Amino acid sequence: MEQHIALRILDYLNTLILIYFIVTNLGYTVLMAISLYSVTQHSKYARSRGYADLADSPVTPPVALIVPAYNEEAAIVDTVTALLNLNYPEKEIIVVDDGSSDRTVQVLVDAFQLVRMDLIYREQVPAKKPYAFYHNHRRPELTVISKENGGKPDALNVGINMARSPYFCTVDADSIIERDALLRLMAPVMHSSVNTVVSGGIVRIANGCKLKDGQIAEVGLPKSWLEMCQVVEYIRAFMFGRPAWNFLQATFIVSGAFCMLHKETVVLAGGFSTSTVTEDIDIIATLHRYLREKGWKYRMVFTSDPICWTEAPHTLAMFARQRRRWQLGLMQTVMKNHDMILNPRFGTLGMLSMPFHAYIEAMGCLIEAFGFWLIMPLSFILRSMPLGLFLLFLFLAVGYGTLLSMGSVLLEEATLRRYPKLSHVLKLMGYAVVENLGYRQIVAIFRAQGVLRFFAGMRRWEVVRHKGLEGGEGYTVAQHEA
Amino acid sequence: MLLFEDLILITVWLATAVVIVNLVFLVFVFYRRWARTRYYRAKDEAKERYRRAVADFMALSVGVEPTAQLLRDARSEAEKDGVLDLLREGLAGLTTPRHVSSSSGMRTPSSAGRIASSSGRLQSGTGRITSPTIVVGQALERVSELLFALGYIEGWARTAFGRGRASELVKRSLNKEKTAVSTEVRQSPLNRIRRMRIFSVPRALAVDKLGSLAADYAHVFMAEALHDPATEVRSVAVAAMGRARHPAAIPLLLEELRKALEEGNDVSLRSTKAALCSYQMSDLELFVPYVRHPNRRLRFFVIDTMREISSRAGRSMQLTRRGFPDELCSLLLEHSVNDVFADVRARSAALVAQFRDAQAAEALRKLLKDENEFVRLHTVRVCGDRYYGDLIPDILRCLSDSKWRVREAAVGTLRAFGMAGLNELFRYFAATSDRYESEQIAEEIQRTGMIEQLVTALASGGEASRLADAVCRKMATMGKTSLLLNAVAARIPQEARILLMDALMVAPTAKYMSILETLAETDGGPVGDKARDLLRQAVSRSGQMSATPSSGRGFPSGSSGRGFPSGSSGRGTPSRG
Repeated sequence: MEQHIALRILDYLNTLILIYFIVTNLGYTVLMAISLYSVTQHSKYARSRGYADLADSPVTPPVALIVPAYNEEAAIVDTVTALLNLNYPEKEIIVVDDGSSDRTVQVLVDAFQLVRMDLIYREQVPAKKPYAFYHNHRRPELTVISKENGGKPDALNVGINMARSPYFCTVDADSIIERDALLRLMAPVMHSSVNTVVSGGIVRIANGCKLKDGQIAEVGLPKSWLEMCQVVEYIRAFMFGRPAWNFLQATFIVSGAFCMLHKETVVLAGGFSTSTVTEDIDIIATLHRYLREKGWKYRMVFTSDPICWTEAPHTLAMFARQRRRWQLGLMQTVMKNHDMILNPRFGTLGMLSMPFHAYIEAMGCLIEAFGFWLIMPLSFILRSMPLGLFLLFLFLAVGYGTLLSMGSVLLEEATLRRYPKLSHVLKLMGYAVVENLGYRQIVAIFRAQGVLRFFAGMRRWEVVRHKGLEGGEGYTVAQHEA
Repeated sequence: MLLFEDLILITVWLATAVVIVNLVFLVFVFYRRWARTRYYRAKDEAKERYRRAVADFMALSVGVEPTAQLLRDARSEAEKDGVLDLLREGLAGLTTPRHVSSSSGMRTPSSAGRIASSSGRLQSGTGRITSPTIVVGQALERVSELLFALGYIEGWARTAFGRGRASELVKRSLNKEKTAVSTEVRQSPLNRIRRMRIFSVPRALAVDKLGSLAADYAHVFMAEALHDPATEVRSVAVAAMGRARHPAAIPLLLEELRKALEEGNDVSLRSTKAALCSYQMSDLELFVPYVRHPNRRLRFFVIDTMREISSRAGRSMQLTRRGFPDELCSLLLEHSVNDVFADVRARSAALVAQFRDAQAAEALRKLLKDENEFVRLHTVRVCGDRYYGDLIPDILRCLSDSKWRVREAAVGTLRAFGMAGLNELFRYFAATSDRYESEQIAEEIQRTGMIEQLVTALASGGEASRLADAVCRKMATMGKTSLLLNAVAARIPQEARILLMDALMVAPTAKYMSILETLAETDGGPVGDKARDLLRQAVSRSGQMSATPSSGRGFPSGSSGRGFPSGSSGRGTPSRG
């Protein structure tokens, strides 16, 4: 009797898993088709127009680049140099040292001949008060601010309070932005007839690339399987998911490593919140809610050509920490905004994007992890699942993913072509297959841990250590304690 | 009923399908790489083949028709692109271009199109060419004629406007016809489909290429493109109009602007304004009819556009009233500076400031007292011109403005007057007891590097030295000592250093005392003597307060100084401004 009930439960669970995999794969296929269309069209259109007009135009709005930094002494000078060299008519760069225990501020002071000043600080969004400002009147676009540790969102809020430009761009201290990327990010804002409050770009993995003078001098691929799988994963995420949601006007995630926001709207919405560990996802949801409640017309755009290069974790332990945090943050944001799910007031965001992100992106990993590693093998061993069904499961969980990954690499090759060598593309295609045979399933476990941590009430920001890029300054540590 | 055996078969079929699609993807990558290589090889070969012909054409040694006959052999897309590349390189070689296209169309210096419109008066190869830009204008006109002769323009026009309209438009373009001031989107049941990017992007790309022709030829096409239902096409046309700067395009662009303000327009205000801002001072008279437009926001955009045009021109030469059309000057001085819409008044100030005459000064004086903060802000920003020295007392009044942005702008403006302005600023700073005014001025003194001038002035003696001393004491009292402490610790002239040490003693901080101690120990000269003397004074003073000077106790710590509440370095939002 008990065995019968257990098998019955297994049957129900298998049905649930099967439905989940079918829905997920259908969803991703639709996103893939939309992305193929929108990215190729955008690529054709944008390539022909160039950005010289924007760089010369007096109408192009100034942008403040806000760089929150915590113990970034090795990378920060390269990052700031790259930002100073960005092709953009009017910009201010605000580095917010979030109570670093290393020489982050000192290396900046030395490199850019900054001097300490007693400047006015006007609080528009709540944040911990800064205690020192560094500036060089011969390089007026750069300001460095020191404050006690308060986490990345707090540092961003301090940057907002000091910024004078109508738009600001969040930049991670260990990221490299391509020279024209800011102009490309601004292009949709300039060409939009409604207020564009968010403009996001693509983030790529810089592991394996060669750095020179704060710029990517030679695009390459990493050697380790973990990093290679992450390269393919980033291509898939940024070439498929986000352009498609942008096409449907339902953007919910924009990477905080490189994202431009309308300052006044962010200030009105209360700035970055410290209630989640992924402030970039949280701010998007907050802005959607605020603007919908006000009934204001707005747009959030994701553009597939401005590129920011970042370093991916090198070890499985660091990688696990990163993914747990991302998943925890996504869960926190989704649960914080649960009333938006299937709420027609929020349009395609409420009816499509939010349910997708809540049930597939946020909680789906539980089904993926337990289904793949536990329920399916158990059912097969207990003979409650016939071979045909087991093979179908395997196909849906593993095989179909190769199509999506290969498609994304193909899209990259057809549009951006950041990997010049044929051998690079072939290697990427090889890993597009390989990453479905183990990597994605491991990621599902880490993500599931993040979800479980959310239910357990944990909200700690885990330390992620980076090794540094080839040609860069070496070892860096990115550590934020919320 | 679905059997499990069928399920195995279905799965196998599905897996096979996925493998096949993946292989197709892989083959596509190889094909794409091969196709690109072939395209570039063909393009490079075509460039080599036609380089001489194009060079002769650009050097005016061969006419349009013989060159066209030679270039007609270029039939494939790659070959045509090669020819266009050569023509573009030829144009770019004539002068240093500001805009060079990344597309296969041609983009020339933005002035070229405008000059091309007058180049009809010039004769090829007659030696009457006077400047590189005119050479480019003339060359662009010839290149456009060549493209007509090659049939490229007809091809682009067909893609952009359809077979039916193309030949008519080409004829009108060749005749350099004027266009009606209409930008209405043509209604059609197919508009929904035509708006889809898959159809609109090729049209937009074709319009972009047509927009790079000489302005007189391009105008007909651009005006036609404004009737397109797709945003992409109209945006490209608007941007091309800005580059070509054809006078007849101004009413069309302003009509686009009006639509955006009154009816809603999917071409953004910024794009249209950017195109209008590309025009030059000589085009300002074309904006005059719109200065008194009934729509206040349109009036604002028109004035603001003229402000951008004149401020760009003002960067390379000093403008006066004579540089502006008379009618515009009268309108601005009589109407715009008194407009009911504050934004119009604010932007008018910048234009009026370029006149540099007594009437303009009077108008600016009035605007400096305007009830609206943005008007005051924009006015005070543009008064930083030595011609307006008489306005210094009015600008000084802005230092006590209730809005911090106005106060900040006033400091910057006074700085622009050189020592005269700075002395007035320093006097005001030393005398004022208002916390907010003092904070703002201290901020600007630090941000703009005025500290260096102050320290230099300290040792110069006389009135300047007394004033600098008063400013340093005031800053010390406010706790704005970071830069002054740097100066004391740095190797500045001895006399200035000693005076600065005295000034800092009005509100000594712990950091200052530690600097004094270091100086007392390490410096054997007058600076060391002064430091020891000041330390002795401090000890005797703190003795009365039963405190030890070396530990810094007994002195105000951090940035809080006498007369200001703790944290007066500006932290927290000041209630004013």
